[in-house]
Amino acid sequence: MREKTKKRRPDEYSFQRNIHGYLLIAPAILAILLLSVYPLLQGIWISLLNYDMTKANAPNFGTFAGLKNYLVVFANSKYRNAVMNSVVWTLVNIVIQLALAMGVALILNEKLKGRGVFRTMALLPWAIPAAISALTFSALYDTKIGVFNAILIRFGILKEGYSFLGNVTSAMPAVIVANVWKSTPFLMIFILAALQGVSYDMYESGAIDGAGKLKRFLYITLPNIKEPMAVAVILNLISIFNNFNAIWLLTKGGPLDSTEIMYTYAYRQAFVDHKFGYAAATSVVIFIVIAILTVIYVKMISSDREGRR
Amino acid sequence: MKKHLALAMATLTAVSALTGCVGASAGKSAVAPETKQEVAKSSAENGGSESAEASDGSVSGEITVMVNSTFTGMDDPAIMRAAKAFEEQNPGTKVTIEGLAGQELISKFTTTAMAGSGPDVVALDNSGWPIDLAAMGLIMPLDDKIEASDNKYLQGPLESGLYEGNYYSVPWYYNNTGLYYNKRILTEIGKDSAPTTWDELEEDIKLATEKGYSGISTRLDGYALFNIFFENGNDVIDTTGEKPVVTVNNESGKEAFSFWTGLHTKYHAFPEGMKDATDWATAYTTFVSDDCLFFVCGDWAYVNIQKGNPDMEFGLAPMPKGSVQAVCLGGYNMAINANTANPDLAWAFVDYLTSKECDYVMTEQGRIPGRSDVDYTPILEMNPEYQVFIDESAYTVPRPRVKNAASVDQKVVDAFKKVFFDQKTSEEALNELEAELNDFVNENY
Repeated sequence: MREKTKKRRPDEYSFQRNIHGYLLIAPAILAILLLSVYPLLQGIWISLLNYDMTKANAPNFGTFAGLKNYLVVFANSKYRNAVMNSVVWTLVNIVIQLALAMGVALILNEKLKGRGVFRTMALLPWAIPAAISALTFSALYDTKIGVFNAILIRFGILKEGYSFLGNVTSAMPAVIVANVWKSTPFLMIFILAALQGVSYDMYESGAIDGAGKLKRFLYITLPNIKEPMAVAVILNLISIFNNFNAIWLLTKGGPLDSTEIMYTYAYRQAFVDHKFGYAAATSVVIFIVIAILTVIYVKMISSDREGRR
Repeated sequence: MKKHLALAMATLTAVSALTGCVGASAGKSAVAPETKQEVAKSSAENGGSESAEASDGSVSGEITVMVNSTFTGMDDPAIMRAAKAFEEQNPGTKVTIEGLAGQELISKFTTTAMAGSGPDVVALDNSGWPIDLAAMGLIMPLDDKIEASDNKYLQGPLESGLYEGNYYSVPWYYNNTGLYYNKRILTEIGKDSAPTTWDELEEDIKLATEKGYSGISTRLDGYALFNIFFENGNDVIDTTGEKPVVTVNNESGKEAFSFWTGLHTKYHAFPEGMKDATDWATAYTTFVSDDCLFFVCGDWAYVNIQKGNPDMEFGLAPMPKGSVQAVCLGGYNMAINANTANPDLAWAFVDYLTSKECDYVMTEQGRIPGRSDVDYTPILEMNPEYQVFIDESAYTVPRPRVKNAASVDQKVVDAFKKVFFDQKTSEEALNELEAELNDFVNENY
């Protein structure tokens, strides 16, 4: 069977045989090359140049700098702090989101009354624009009018309002909570879809064999949803690592750089300090991380397809 | 090349982090003249800007003008009426007004101008945007146009667009901070008028905090915090010489920083909510909650405080004096895109919009036009207390005219936060600020 497939491939993908198909996708390929690949290569090139925009008249402006931009950026303690924050931001987000998404998906997969309504409600945060979500959380965290402070004061946990977004120790947890609320539904819907693909017969057989809820979850549910779940996790990791709005709209990377991630650092280098060479170098590092995650994602998709064949 | 790099960085952003691009040119003179006339002469010698052309009906074509959305986000915006009136006075012209929020405005203008396009005219925050864009070669020098203009621009706001001896923008409107005070709390501490000096301010704050109130609040940004130094005659960075010199840690700087941070260490004068007051909307809540004695903000706060707490009685006073009477300059200037295909029409509109004829665009919103020949009657009819801001114009000080000034703002704010968050002493924070600013100057000059 495999040999047959291998033999058929050249003919299957031949240009002559598929000329209409190739012509149809040509505009899209061209657009990707022009709007993505070429600018991406240019961006990488800028990261190797002297590119301080406010020194446009300097003799070395636009000249080749080798890896200087990378070395300057890596040597900067604020960048290293941003890298650490990016790691914390991404990992904590994904762990909490995965746990919550799994829990909610399992509940919504049960035969509940009004399940459709609950599913819609669970998806709502994901559909709300980032700016609205940020404004909402900004109000919720407010020291005077915020609900969180009101509850904590009511229960005697706090004596007076506490600035969740304004204090160094609480700012990162506060933006993570806001992002978890907004992004979990995306992961949840993936897991829910996977759960719906698990045959009910398997659970019935398990129950007859004496498996309790935990065992059924560990030995039936998890093995059956692990592949689509892994794909969803990778997609979410990319989205979290790349999430600029969630932080910029709430704290702008502050206070005192406590929520500065690589993305906000790159933005600051470009649009506050106008050091586009440094910004490009930072962006290339981000791109490499994203590219690695994307390769893992593509591999997973490919192996999933192979498995199904 | 510019277009390629803009495209390149835009994609890199989409894929990973940001947008960006490549530069332009900006030939400037090295001498910084003192007056409008000297500037014009200097500019002519340097081959600065192109010949001036007044709005006399000789212009034609189309231009796009990008302004802050404060002026477009309402029914029948005055600026739209001004544009229409200009079109009627100059047949064959079309002016399109676009409104964008502050940070979005500068980001969009920068990226589009670097890509060789963008709006013909742009409104720029005078906190350093004109300097940055001039250094990048994205806006054009206007010296001889300013010289030929009948508009009597205020020198302070005008100088906020001065870069390497050339003026790159003209004042549209300016603002400065005043001291809002809670009348009830002031009476409760036994005072019948707002403080006029630092000593009086400290005494009032001490009395208010003893009664359980917060002493003073503001937004944590350069506009508010530069007052700390300016009020004590300290420039933070001296830009009068060939190379900027950091002065923040000299005697006047130490005294100023120690005084203001001391309000926290001695009295816990600043409310907790000020820690995340990175925008004015958040900052207002610290004052409208009726438990903070003072609030430092510009003219736009008045209406917002009234709306935020209609029952709260408050007043407005000039900023208290340190060793000198000074207050930080804010507001917006108008500049012309270096890529514009129609510089004459662009200038004709700028000249018109910043003229006496168009003062209503500002005054209808309680804004103060950036000229010396303004009829303040409409503003004072709207709110007599705005006299405070008008009077303060005599001693308004622009922030240091350095490239990437937003970065300086951030460093000053962070230094203040280090003490406010009990991480450093005043002395340690100021020493670190001085070192960071010296690094900044060495890196940028």
